[in-house]
Amino acid sequence: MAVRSEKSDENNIALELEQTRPYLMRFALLQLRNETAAEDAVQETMLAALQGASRYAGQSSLKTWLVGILKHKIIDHLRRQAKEPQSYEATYEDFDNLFEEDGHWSEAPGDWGRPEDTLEQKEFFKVLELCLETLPAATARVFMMREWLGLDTDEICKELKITATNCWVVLYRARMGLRACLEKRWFSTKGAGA
Amino acid sequence: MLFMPTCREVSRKLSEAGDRRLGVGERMGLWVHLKACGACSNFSRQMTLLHTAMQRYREPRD
Repeated sequence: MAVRSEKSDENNIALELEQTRPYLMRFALLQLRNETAAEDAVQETMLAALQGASRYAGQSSLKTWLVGILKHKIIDHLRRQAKEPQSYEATYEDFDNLFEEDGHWSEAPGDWGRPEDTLEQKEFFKVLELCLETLPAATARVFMMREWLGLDTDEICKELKITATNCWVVLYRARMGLRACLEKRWFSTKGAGA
Repeated sequence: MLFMPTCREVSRKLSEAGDRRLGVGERMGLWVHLKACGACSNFSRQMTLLHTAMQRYREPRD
């Protein structure tokens, strides 16, 4: 086995870690919605990365590796937060104003065109991020746990001590909010599909 | 009994489809509704796009 200079590897990693910090911070903020908690999670990630630097063998990109660590740190934070109960109260009836009394859409969802045309545009992801930021904090937290951390609803329910039904409703709320925001800020201005 | 959902119910089921396995009756009801309803078909594609976008979003870009 080749013996590489561990010291210089560590220095390189420390430098790269600093460059990745803003990227990690953005994700932590979206998920935790609290500057201090986000900074803590990123700091813990950095420390864990430095301590475990010898375990990073360059097999995946450094970012991917760090994001993996960050996810665990975020889950730890969520777990601690869950001890201070928050309100995830929501019912499907909250969205009744989007529909007529007979159950039809008040405003029918439009054609968003070909997904690939949208997904290849970097700008779209900036708008998506903006829309995520406009969701209510508790709603965004559940949505990010589901779609970004990739937890299933059972795990989310357990972490947040909410019922499965409640979880589905909150996710519905997030998706309805995001689609309305994307419609307004992206698709209606870009004329997608037209 | 056949589940004959309205657009309101369809939108809920389409969201839940991302989080749990729908029952046979629910899937049948959705299928029949989506065949006939352009607005809900658009909504269904929007949900798929949103999910795909979130997956791309979480993949770190170097």
